Amino acid sequence: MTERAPECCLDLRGTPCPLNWVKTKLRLEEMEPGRRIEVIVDQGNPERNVPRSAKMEGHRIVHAISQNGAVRICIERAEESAP
Amino acid sequence: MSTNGDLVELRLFGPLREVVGEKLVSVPYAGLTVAEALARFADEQGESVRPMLFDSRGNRLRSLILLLNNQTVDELETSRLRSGDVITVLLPLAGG
Amino acid sequence: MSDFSEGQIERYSRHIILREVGGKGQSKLLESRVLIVGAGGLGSPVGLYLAAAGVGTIGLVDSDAVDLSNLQRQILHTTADLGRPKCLSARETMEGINPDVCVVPHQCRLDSANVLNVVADYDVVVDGADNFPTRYLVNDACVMQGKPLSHAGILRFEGHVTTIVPGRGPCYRCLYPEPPPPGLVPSCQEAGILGAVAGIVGSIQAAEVLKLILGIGDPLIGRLLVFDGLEMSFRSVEIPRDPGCPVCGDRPTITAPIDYEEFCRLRGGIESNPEVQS
Repeated sequence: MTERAPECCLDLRGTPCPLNWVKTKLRLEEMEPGRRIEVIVDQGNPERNVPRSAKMEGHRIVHAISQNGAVRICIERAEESAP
Repeated sequence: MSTNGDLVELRLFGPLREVVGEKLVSVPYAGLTVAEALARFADEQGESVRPMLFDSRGNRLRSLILLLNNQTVDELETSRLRSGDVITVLLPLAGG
Repeated sequence: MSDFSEGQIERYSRHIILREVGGKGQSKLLESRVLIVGAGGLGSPVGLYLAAAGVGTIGLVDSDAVDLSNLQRQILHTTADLGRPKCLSARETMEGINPDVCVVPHQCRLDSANVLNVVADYDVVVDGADNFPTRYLVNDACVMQGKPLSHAGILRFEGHVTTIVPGRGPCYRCLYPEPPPPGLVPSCQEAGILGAVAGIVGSIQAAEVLKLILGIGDPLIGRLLVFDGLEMSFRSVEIPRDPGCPVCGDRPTITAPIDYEEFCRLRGGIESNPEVQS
């Protein structure tokens, strides 16, 4: 089985917490369950906070890859994100 | 004379609390119905309190919420008070 | 996401982060229309919080002008607003907090002739009036039009709050079928009100309105929340719907808005005061 490619990519380098998560969340809300998004965030707090927030809402972190001082995080949208 | 075994509590709010000067009043009304207890309370407290509970014809005001142990009372005329019961009397507040 | 500007994303970020709100919930708030009756002690915190929350259209009913004695609790208005119509001073404050919000002033007194027209334009109504006639009128109009209504009343250190959703629980007349005899329950003008109590109770109303629009949580339907600011306690009292209620009951007898004076006359005031005409 091939990995599904991310549906879109959001470059959130330079966007501070929690706005980076807010923008990721808004994009996730518009996606079909099971689809993926890749976000690029700064190292440090963003690389910890964005995946944590995504997991708290039930989304799955497919991978997080450090690259040139930033982190590419691939997130798969949860089946149902509403509580 | 009353003993502790007779006591029920009246919890008062709003203008009724103002006039009586207490938020919680212990009264020896166990054995009375809720309706009888209100009438007795009005008799004992006098003319400043009566208009807050009864109209000029002696009918209970329809602008009161009466609670027995925090529940609305369906049978005011038949439910008999037991020692330790709490009657709450609420009047609507107009202020905004 | 494309619907929100960068500024909106930042402004509403603390809402959007909430699982129960998110971008979809925030969009609902921006599209919603809320009517606040009374720009006073209750209407002030309600208006401020709803404007800050991004409720897109907020109607304000008030016919009064700002008086110095209002400023101890009516935090929509400032000393510079003395003498100005409350509707306009409130609009300035609310739109100043959030330019996304459109405030519609209704500089009038509600009566049986205009209430249905005013209420019809809104999704949710907030009762922050300072008198019984308006409270019954607003309740009746909301029941007739099926509009959710946040009701609250305050006096001294006390506050009562409930949420009325026609068809899902009791209305104001189920709680209090008749207003108390005139003069029995004093106004804040006569008996006073701790300013912060208005803030607490109005803030509860604002939270209830936001919950209703978002469709989340358990609104105060069928429950009267009684706040005692001296004890600093809340009591929640369950209040059933009255099947015999004249306005929301199974066989309603009040089917069009009526003014208070007329209401009182109907209830037996005829023999006591036959010459009174409304």
